[in-house]
Amino acid sequence: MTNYLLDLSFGVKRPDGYVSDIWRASTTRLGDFHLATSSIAGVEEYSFNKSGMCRSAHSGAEGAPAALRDRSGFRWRRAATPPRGSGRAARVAWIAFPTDYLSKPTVKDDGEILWIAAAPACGATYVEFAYAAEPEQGIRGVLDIMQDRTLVRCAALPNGETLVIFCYHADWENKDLRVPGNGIVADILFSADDPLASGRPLRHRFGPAPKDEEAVLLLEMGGAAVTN
Amino acid sequence: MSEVRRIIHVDMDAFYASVEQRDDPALRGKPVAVGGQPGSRGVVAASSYEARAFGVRSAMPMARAVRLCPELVIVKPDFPRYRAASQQVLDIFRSCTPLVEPLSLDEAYLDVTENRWGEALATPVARRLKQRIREEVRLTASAGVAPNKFLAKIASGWQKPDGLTVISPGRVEAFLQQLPVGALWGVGPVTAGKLRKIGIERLVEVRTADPDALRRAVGSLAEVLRRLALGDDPRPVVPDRPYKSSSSENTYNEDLLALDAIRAEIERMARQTAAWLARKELLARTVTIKVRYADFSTVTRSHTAAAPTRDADEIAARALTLLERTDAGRRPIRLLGAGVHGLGGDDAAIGIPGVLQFED
Repeated sequence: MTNYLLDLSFGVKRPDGYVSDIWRASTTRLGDFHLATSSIAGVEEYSFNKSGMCRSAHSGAEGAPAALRDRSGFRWRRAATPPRGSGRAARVAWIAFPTDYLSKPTVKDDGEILWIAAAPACGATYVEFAYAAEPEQGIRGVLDIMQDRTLVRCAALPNGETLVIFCYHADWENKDLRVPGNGIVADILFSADDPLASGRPLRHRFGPAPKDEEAVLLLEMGGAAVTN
Repeated sequence: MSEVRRIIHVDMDAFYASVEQRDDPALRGKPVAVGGQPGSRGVVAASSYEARAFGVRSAMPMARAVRLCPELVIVKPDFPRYRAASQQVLDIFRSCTPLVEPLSLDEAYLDVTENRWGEALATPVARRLKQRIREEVRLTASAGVAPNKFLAKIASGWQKPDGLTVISPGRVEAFLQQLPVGALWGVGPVTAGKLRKIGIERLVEVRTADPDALRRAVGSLAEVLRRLALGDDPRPVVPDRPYKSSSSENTYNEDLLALDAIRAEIERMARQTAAWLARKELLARTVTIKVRYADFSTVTRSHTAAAPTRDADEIAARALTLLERTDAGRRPIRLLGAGVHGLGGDDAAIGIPGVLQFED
């Protein structure tokens, strides 16, 4: 018997094969929810404890810079789940994947990954995670009415709540972003145009530290090292 | 969770001045102001970006504009030409979606959630609109793309001229955090001042403001501000929006002091407004007048009746009664205005462009 009520690997993919990093969403039998992805900095994980307390952390990975290894991140309390019958859900995390910053795939698809279709150019695919007190059928009903949102997965939790994962496409303003390496490492350029034709091998996530009651908001973009 | 809408606000760049520069090559690259002559107390209706570099702004007395920019080229307004250009732009908009809500000759909202061009997102639509305006009308426009009207309107002013600002759902909060309350449409300097007095400088501070203090400061606007502070604006894009108000005002070459002349002007404007109501087959509940004294201090007076009317005698009489609550006849007056609102019982939730924004 698996230890997880939900164990989903997913990513966002364009028709030309360009992809996001692979994410894993899992819920333990105790009702804790974990959202994680691997990157050059190791495993980046967001944990949502059944108590409502949440934390982020980087855990060790081969080759990760020492400063980024086994590092505890933020702690916050997630928003309470709205009562049953309210027709509402408490969003706890959302990730934006701008289409024009997806990357040439470097990992072989093992067939276990759920690929979410990317938004058209100049758009972003949002994947959202929320807790609802409604049963799955009610959630499907709400999302059917909303039309623009697609249910990715639902997981019934031991406390009677449901973890809902859904996605939608939205507009995005493509702008170059250059993260300076301050002469220690190369700058990283995040560009929709990808002037170096690099395939954007370096994927990184940006987002503010969440405060209590707030959802984690992450922006995942692909870039390339530039030396001048 | 709410349904994602794709709203675009398009704002033509320095519209009247740009039409003049488009049609007269001699004006290109020069500081241009469209409006009345400084000697006749004219005001700036629009200024080119070259003139704005000198500080010349809309609604500024032309005499001041000339002081700021002695090289200013003043052009008399040609509204038929502006209307023609505006119609061309609207035709482009309507080729994309029937949900076009013009706000004035130079700006409009579009709901492109579903559109005739088959675009799934609004950003490519906004790019195409801007490109077609440039190619077909030979003018530039700035566009804001957002999930609602309030955000789209502010976004269009973010990067001007020829700008495109997109507020993706994940960026709404960061965008709201930057906004001073005065950036809001419908919040004039007086209301912004009242909000500052209770410690609110930024829109997001409305969220944690004491509800009673907020209501005391801004009245019924409190609830609207509270919604907007959360980025929530459910107002739909309404094509052919019903009229909310009508008004006219006039700045005089010479200050008016004689009460008879002032009363005659107010009565003329009130009757003109009543005639407009009759033409539009509308009724109004509120009559308003505006008086600006020679020292630029401005007062407004309003009267709302239980029963709506378009009777010219009644509207004129009410406007003249309101005039008695001013210093008309005792202090020189440079501007008078009269208007009606509360049309058809349908009131605006927040400031609607075109409405004379009266603030005491």
